[in-house]
Amino acid sequence: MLGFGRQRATVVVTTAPIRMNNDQRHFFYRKLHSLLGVLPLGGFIAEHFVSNAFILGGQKSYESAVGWLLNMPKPLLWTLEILTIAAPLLFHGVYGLIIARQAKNNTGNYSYARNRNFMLQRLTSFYLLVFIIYHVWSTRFTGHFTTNYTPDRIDQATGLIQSQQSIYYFMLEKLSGNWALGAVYFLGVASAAFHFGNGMWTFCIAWGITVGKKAQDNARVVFSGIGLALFALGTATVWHLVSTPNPFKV
Amino acid sequence: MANEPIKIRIKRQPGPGVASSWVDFEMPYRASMNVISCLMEIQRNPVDASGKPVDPVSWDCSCLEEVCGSCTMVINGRVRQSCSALVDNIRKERPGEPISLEPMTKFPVVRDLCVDRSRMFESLKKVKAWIPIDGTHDLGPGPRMNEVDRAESYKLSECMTCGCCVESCPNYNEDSKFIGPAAISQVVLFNSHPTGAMNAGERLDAIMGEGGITDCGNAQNCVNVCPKSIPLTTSIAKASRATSVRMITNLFDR
Amino acid sequence: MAEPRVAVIGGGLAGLMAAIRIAEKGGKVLLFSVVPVKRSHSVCAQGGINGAVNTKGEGDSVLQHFDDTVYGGDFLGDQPPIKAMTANAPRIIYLLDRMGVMFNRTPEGLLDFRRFGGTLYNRTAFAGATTGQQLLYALDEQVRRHEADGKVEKFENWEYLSSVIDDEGVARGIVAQNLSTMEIKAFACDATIIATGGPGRIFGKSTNSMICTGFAAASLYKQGAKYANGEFIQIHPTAIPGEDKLRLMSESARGEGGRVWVPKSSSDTRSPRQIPEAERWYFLEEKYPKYGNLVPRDIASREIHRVCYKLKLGIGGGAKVYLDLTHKPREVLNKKLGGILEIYEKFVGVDPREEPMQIFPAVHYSMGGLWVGYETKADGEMDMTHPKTHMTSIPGVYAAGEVDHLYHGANRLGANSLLSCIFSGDVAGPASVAYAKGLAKGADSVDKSIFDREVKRMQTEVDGIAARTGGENPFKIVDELGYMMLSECTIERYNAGLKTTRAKLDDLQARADRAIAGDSGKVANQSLRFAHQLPYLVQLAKVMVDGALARNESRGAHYKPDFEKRDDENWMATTLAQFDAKANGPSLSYVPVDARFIKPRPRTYGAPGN
Ligand SMILES: Cc1cc2nc3c(=O)[nH]c(=O)nc-3n(C[C@H](O)[C@H](O)[C@H](O)COP(=O)(O)OP(=O)(O)OC[C@H]3O[C@@H](n4cnc5c(N)ncnc54)[C@H](O)[C@@H]3O)c2cc1C
Ligand code: SF4
Ligand code: SF4
Ligand code: FES
Repeated sequence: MLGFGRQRATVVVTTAPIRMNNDQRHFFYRKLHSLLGVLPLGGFIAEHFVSNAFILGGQKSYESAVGWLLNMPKPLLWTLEILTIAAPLLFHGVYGLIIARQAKNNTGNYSYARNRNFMLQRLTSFYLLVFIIYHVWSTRFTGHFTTNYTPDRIDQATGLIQSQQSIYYFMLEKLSGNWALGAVYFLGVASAAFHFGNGMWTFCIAWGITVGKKAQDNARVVFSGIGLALFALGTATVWHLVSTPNPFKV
Repeated sequence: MANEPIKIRIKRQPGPGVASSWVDFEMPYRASMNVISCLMEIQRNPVDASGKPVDPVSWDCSCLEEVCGSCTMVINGRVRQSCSALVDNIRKERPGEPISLEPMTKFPVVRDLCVDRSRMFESLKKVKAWIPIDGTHDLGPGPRMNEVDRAESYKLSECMTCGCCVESCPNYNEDSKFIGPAAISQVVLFNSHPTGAMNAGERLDAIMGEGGITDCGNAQNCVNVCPKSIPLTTSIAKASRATSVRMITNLFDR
Repeated sequence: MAEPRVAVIGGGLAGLMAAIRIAEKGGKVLLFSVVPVKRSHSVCAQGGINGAVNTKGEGDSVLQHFDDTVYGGDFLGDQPPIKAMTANAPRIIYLLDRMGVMFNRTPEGLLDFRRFGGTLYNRTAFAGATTGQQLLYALDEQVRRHEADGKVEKFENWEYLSSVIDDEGVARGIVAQNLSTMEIKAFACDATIIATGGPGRIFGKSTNSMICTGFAAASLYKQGAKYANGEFIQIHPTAIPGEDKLRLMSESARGEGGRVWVPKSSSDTRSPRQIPEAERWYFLEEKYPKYGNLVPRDIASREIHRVCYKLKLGIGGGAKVYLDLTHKPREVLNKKLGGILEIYEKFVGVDPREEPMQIFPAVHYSMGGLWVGYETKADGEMDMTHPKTHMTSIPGVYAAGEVDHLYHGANRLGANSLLSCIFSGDVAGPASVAYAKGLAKGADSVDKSIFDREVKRMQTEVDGIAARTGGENPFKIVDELGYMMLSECTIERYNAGLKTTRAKLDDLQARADRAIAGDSGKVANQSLRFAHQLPYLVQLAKVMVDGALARNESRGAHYKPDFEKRDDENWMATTLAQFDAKANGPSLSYVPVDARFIKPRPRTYGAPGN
């Protein structure tokens, strides 16, 4: 490629804009990492927190909020899951680890809030990586999510699902009374909310959206607000699951 | 405590690549002393705190008024200029403890507090931090500029390559190729000059690779430690915007 | 000869400008500097650079600038070079503007100019209050560009020790020392430009940077170069007294309206803002109604000195007066003087926008320096391209910047130095290339043994010091040197004091010659380096004192109360000092001043009764 690239540089460029040299590739991957963090991942996190919070309204509220997703034709759901969640997450997570490894944190001597956040962004990423693997494995690949969720198992008289086939009871069974796992989830929720809020704020600088100090300060207020809101929703969700007794418990 | 003798601990290293060790010094207090005058005192009387003769300490300084950028070192754990570090102020940071002086950690140590900052000057070469004039022959006045833009650029042009920003930056270290905030800010300075703007693309390309703008993680330590209060994070955001746009236009323009 | 090689010693404004010009002329530059060139002393210059661009509709002209400079220099300056410099000043300012210097602008987007001492015109272009820094960076950037193109090779952290002079007395290269590894090495080159700045360190504390030792000039002087007008040392009226340095408070503070005053009674203990107008004495404004606080530096310094020492009216009876800017709006001060006010605030801990500053005169600049010649054309103007213009008395060695003697006579006007430094580099660079191109044989083809000989001479000196034991600490000796020079060879000079100082200098020389390094370090041995320099500094001090002792008149910065008047009949002459090995000091001679354009007239600055 190098050999003929010199002579026919224009041809190479016009016909293959995607062909990049090392530097361009580096820049592109960093940008992609940053972009994926917002779309789709940031979007997904926000959606996930909000729809899960319907749990606070009980089984019916929750299951009608997430039902549409689960009722989607499987091939479509899988494609969506892979394209908008799994693949971006994998790239964001793995490439992010590489980035995080390059930093030499120094909050001891430079204990500015921003620097602490910089370090936290990296710390939370480590936790999230482990947590998400566990979370996906234990919910998506084992147990409930692997069996079909079909509405005809719903008891028409009470409107409640009768068995552990219910996603609501599936989660309840996992977490109800399980304070240890609750703590693990709480940390996951807190990490995700922080990583999201702080990540959005950095994104705005990294893409040159907020340039001046004022703009950056304002963005901090906005994303701290959103981050806190997500944190509150997530915490409430986890609290609900941990503190609600599981009626099916034998 | 005001007139107590000054106690200083210095991290000493006799040459490049050899082990370092801490040595204590003590000297009488005089009003309005700074770290440099303490080091000068050691030059005049090179003995350690126990009175044992030692080699005098090597360090860099020149202007003594915080414009040349020579005298950067890590004082009480924080990087800054030693000429403007007044003893009265820094003694308050760690009451009862000696003032600690260390060489910067992001550059190779030459001896004691002297380090080799050539990497920063190489970065300036890399980003083509200059206005490409045709020559020094008489071509009349330069381009007009409005005073508001001028004042903004002036702020950036005060960078004295002291290295405080990169010393504090978690992403700038011997394992990373990160070019650092000072050079990025120079890109913004030259790209906003009417003549410099003619080569804006070249400078952006120089920071659109490995070690370039994307390697900043927005810890924003840099802007907090810069002795010249240069709005580095604004420069970084401006350069980010310009490079993002360039990435996208590059996709469509060719 | 293929490509002329020129060693430029020093990367301040003068050295960098020379380097750019040589690169443009097709020469190869070896650029030496003891610090990365971006850290050269020129960064300290605050106030601005002069050029009669006349953008304020005041009718300023280059001839007016010429006249102000000659008059300000008390008619000791040779006039053709001064005329050439002032005529080229607008071009130089425009050039800097094109290089991207962030000069302050007018609302119309044009360069703004402010007033400085010794003139009635707004003639000083400025970039905030860090003009020197901004100019140096612009030149540094251009040099970096040439460096990236391979036309300039930098040797930063290398110190020039001496020139390699062949048996015909022609310079063929230099010997320099790497300040990290301490290696001493010769570099062959066809021409050398010394641009190493001023000698402030000889006075202990001054407004100069620590690297302004005068060592390079002293070394060349000891090798036979003539040193001119050494006795003319500028004392700046307004500096901030300090423990390690006397930091300058730029003349621009007065250019922007700063007023100098003392309380009418020295026992007045009120804080300055509490003292009513009627009880303040604005002594400069009173004595010089036309120029007010902007009289030239020598005059202002003498007045402050007189007020503090003769009249004992300094603040609280001490050696300080007020420099007051508190009547100016904060925003204006920040925009035009930000840099220097920050220095005051940082080092004194008082906000000068709220409280008048306390200042006192300090050693600032050397009008004298290595003697350089110039050629003139038929019309009497300086021939800027002649190979002999700006050459020292050693063929092949040029000098430019503060280290040359050419442009300021007996007193330099504020903001004329940045100009003379750049202009002299602008002239010396091409002249050195012209000289190199005209050489019958280049430095490559001379006998190698002369390089080895000079390296050996320097190595022996340095090794001798490293091996020496039992001598004194050089940093203590230089403190004494500074104290001596400050007390006897600055604002007021008396023959009796100068004579005893001169005798003491001989004694100090002997001690300096035996000073030890007291440092066993193999790398970056700063004490060894300074112990090597010190005897040279004492030699230069002797040049200054001898020159002052001999000159029985008062002219510009040289003021003898016992000889109050300027004496054009006997002393309108440039002092030339040449090293006399037998006397281990200078022998003096004089050449008349070239005053072909402007006839000398009394220098009164409109003071009544003068
Ligand atoms: C505080 C202050 C403020 C000033 N403000 C103004 C002002 O507003 N306007 C104005 O016109 N003038 C001003 N001046 C004067 C002016 O700044 C200087 O005269 C001028 O900068 C000198 O420039 P230079 O190029 O000759 O030398 P410098 O800038 O002093 O540079 C000397 C160079 O030589 C190198 N060097 C020295 N010795 C050696 C050696 N042995 N070997 C190798 N390299 C060596 C140094 O590393 C340096 O690069 C001011 C001076 C001071 C002290
Ligand atoms: S940006 Fe600030 S901290 Fe960084 S090198 Fe420049 S002056 Fe120093
Ligand atoms: S904002 Fe960027 S450049 Fe500044 S300290 Fe942080 S990572 Fe480094
Ligand atoms: S000595 Fe120049 S910045 Fe401190």
